[in-house]
Amino acid sequence: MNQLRQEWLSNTRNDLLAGLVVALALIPEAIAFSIIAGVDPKVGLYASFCIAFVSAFMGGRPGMISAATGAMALLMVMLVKTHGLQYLLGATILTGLLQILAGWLHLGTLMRFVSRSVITGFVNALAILIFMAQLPELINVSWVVYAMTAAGLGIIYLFPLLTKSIPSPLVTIVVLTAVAIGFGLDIRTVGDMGELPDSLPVFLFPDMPLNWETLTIIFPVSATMAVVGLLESMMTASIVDDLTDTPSDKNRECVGQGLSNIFSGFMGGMAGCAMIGQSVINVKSGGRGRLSTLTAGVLLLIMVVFLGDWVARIPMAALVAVMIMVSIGTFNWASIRNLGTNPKSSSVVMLATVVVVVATHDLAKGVLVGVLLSGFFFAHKVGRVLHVSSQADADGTARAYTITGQVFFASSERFVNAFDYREVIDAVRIDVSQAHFWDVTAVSALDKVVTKFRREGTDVEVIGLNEASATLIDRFGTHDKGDAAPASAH
Amino acid sequence: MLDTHQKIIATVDQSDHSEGVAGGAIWAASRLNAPVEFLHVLDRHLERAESEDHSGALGMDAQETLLESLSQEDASRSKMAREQGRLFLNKLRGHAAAQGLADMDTRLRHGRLTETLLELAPTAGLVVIGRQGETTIKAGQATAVSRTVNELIHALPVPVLLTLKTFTPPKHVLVAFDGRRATRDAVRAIATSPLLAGQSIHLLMAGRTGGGLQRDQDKQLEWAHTLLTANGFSVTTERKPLEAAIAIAGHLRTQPVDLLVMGVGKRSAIRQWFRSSDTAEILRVSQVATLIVR
Repeated sequence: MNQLRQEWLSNTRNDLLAGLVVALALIPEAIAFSIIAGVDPKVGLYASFCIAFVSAFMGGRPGMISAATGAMALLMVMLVKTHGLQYLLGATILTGLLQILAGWLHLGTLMRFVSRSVITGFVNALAILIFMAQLPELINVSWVVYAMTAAGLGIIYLFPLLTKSIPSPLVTIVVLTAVAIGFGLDIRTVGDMGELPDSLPVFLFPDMPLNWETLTIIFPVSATMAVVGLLESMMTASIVDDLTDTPSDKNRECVGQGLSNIFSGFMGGMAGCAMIGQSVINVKSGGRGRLSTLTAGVLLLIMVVFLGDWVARIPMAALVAVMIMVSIGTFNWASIRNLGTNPKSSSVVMLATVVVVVATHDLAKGVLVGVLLSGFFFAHKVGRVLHVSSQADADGTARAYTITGQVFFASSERFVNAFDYREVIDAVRIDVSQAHFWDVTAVSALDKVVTKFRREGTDVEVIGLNEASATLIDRFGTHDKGDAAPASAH
Repeated sequence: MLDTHQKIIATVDQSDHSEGVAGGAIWAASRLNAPVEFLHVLDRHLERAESEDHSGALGMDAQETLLESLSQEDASRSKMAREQGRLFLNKLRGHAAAQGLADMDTRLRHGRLTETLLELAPTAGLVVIGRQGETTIKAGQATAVSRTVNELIHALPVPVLLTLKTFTPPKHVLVAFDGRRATRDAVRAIATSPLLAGQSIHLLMAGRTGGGLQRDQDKQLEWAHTLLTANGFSVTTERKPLEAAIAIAGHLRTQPVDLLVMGVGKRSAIRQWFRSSDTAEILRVSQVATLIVR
């Protein structure tokens, strides 16, 4: 109960104000992401309300903002194109179910396999995709649009020098809308992009056949969205953790994301997740508690429903300016500066993640490639942590090998080649007490070494198999079970 | 329980209630022949924020810049709080030494008071807390018991001494007794502990009466009386067929009492949620130093 009070009411004034700032920035984003997904703006706006509302109560990271996002919008484009909105709503609900399952299975802990370089690649790719999604609004248009967009960006970045008490993206939108209306400019507005909400969202079951075929259509999309949504949410949660120096409950966040998406799907909204940019804005504006997320969602809905006519008249150029700001703010510029100084493998992982995402428009694929590459590079590096030294006996009839380091698939070949089989001696002693045998490959490598020596007529004694290796050897090894070898001493 | 030589943790903040806490700790230390540790917790109140920036604009390296500025602000605030905390504890140490406390230590910790105490309490035999702390005093609730205290009394695994602004070594002790296990344990604890040895004790039994219940209560009261008398206390007993809080408040109005003793059982979070606890109600109506025994 005390925790509830602390998470909701200990920062009331700041949470309300920050929620307002976020709501104002969320509106253009939700509209822009709807356009990316190919649905009416109201789908993204309803989604943003539903997701913010539910995650305020059920999420595991107070102060984090979740809503309709670009990362998710990019994944639904094909589904919307081929099967329409109703299937998207169904996919959104299924995404939520999968995310809840992930929360119950404690898959949030899998995030530890996603390295810093992959995360950086993810956000950079996201920023690039958000920027690229604005290009259709900037190609084949009159100079007025360019002028408007530039002016918008100017206001966004220069207005805070005057005062920081009014959100500058709001100023941009108000000024550009006023200019467009005042001068009667013939440029595209939000109203041209599709239907805006004219009422509160209502509960509806998606209009699609409930059969196997439907499942085969929506499942691949839902599974990818579930993964990407959780990835971005976990990333954002740890960013907020760092910024506020407070912990979060990652598995609760998984379940919270799931419930948000289920609610969104039933209320006619698209799938979403936590938003890096908005969460940073929230923390920057003083938002810390759950109240900030709730305020953002509720104010967004109120403003859109009651000011719908005005929202429709916002020129797209203003939205583009705001989205370019989001893209600039999301991109990790330090990663460019660090390209020269970071380890090459880290840079390769980061760049590979970016390239794959930008090429496929699928953040999940990029992350998969990034994680695999990190694992590959890591195995390669650790494989070098293997040292074999040897010493001959005084009379030259025996030799003692000492192995230190890690023996596994990536280092087994080096391990096998480190012994001198041509030396004519009676016995060798292999001391592996300082080594770790990790897998079947390591075990068979040791077997190979023993066999090779025996073929040369050399007695082999393996000593000091430490506990970890001993269990592996006992389970998989052959050399000490055979009839031939009384040699090994455990 | 309430044994000798076990460390006494005295939680102090920079409010004037700390004097009472120190007084209580010094008294308990002399009775129990125990060392005192003055615990001062520096809480950065991470759940709150200060921000004047509502620009909502995200520039290049927005996240890094924000992290940098937030941590810089925290760093300077923490450094100041640390220096203040050290000065405060040094002053307190001087006062305590002047009052004859020899065996003492001070501890400065980051975090929340409740969490820190729950972590440290198992190493102690007694915890001394002020009925109010900085937060409650700032909120202007002159007689209320702080939220932290209400939270802690059910959670701490050791006896708790709640003190007022000033502490006077008790002469008249009132023991709230209902015959249930928690209060029987409390009686057993004070009977065998040197903390209150030789004091005059008034056993007040409250609650519903009648039938078998009354016979049972009589038996319990008799047991408590015998046990305390056998251990050298001068004991008077009284029964009031009223709610515990009302009976205690009535007694406090008419009789001099320096210390209220009561037993508290473990209470689940659910039960705390559904009904305000009797303990909290008793604490609310009794403006007197209170020893809570578990």
